[in-house]
Amino acid sequence: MARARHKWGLLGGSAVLVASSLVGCHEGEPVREQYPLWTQQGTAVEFPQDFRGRVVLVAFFYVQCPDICPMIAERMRQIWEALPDTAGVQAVMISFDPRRDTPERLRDFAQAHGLPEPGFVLASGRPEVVDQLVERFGVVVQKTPSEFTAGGEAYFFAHSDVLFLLDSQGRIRKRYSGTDAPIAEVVRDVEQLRQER
Amino acid sequence: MRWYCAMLLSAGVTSLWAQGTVTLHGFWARPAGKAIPSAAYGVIHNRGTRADTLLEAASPQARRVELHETVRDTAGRMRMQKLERLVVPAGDSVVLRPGGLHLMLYELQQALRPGDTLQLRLRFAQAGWQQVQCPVGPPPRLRRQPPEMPHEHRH
Ligand SMILES: [Cu+2]
Repeated sequence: MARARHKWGLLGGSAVLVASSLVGCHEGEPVREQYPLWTQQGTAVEFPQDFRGRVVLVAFFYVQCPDICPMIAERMRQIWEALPDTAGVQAVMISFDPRRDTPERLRDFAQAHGLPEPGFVLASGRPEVVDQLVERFGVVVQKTPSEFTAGGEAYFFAHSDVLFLLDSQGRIRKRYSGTDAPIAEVVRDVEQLRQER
Repeated sequence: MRWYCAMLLSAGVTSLWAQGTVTLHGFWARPAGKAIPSAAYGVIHNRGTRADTLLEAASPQARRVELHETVRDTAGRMRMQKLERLVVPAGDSVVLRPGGLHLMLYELQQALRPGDTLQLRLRFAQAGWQQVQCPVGPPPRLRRQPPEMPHEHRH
């Protein structure tokens, strides 16, 4: 985890973050911890256990993000649409703003950005669970109060811009920039992991 | 001039809109629920011989409009910072686009849905108030073509 954070700190671009090939099995330990989340349908899921057996694209976001998170959603949708076959593939977007991102807001976000169901699961969970999950993935999230609005709703987050690729065993196999992930490369990687299943 | 005064002021200055040398192109806004901030993007072109400066923005559909820039900080985080003004050099353009400069819209009167139009006004030091209509939807390059009308041939 500390290593992941370090990597993000030093390098800004997308393609340079990791070698272009998939990380070998020995490098990525499966995410064994279980994180109870809820989805945009209000359904309880265990992440990543409930997605085992599928190749999973994972990004972290929050609904009130006006600029970056919509770009991540758009990029994931573009990747999804470019996949020759989505059987055995799942896209999961996890909100680190559970206090505001109710299932209803998650549904709104999915709809506003044309994220197809059931391919896309939008999820969040109890704050302490989400904090641990974010930490486990080495994602950096920092609450930044808006200088303007009084009242509890006015805050943003400074956050990492990252897309993860998990194999069917729940191992993190690759990281990309979320807003800028090279579509053809991600499609190729997903296909490769699909074959590995 | 403060950004959040824009609403109050913009009401009275319609008649003062200058025939500016600043033009606004390809503006669009993101869909957003009522409690969700939106962002507007587009190109500001200054065909004049003097630099102009964007000083404030307003919309009848939002309580407040601010100029922001998304930047990557030293820890690799993406964060937004507020800008008080934006210089548009003579004979040049400034592009507001996702991941960079944008106009943030706070406290929308109503949700913005794809197909809606957002009215936006920008005030420049030289060109005065300029108005632009922003179609609401995904970024223009990602918009799907409208489905073609089926050709039905009945013989
Ligand atoms: Cu902003």
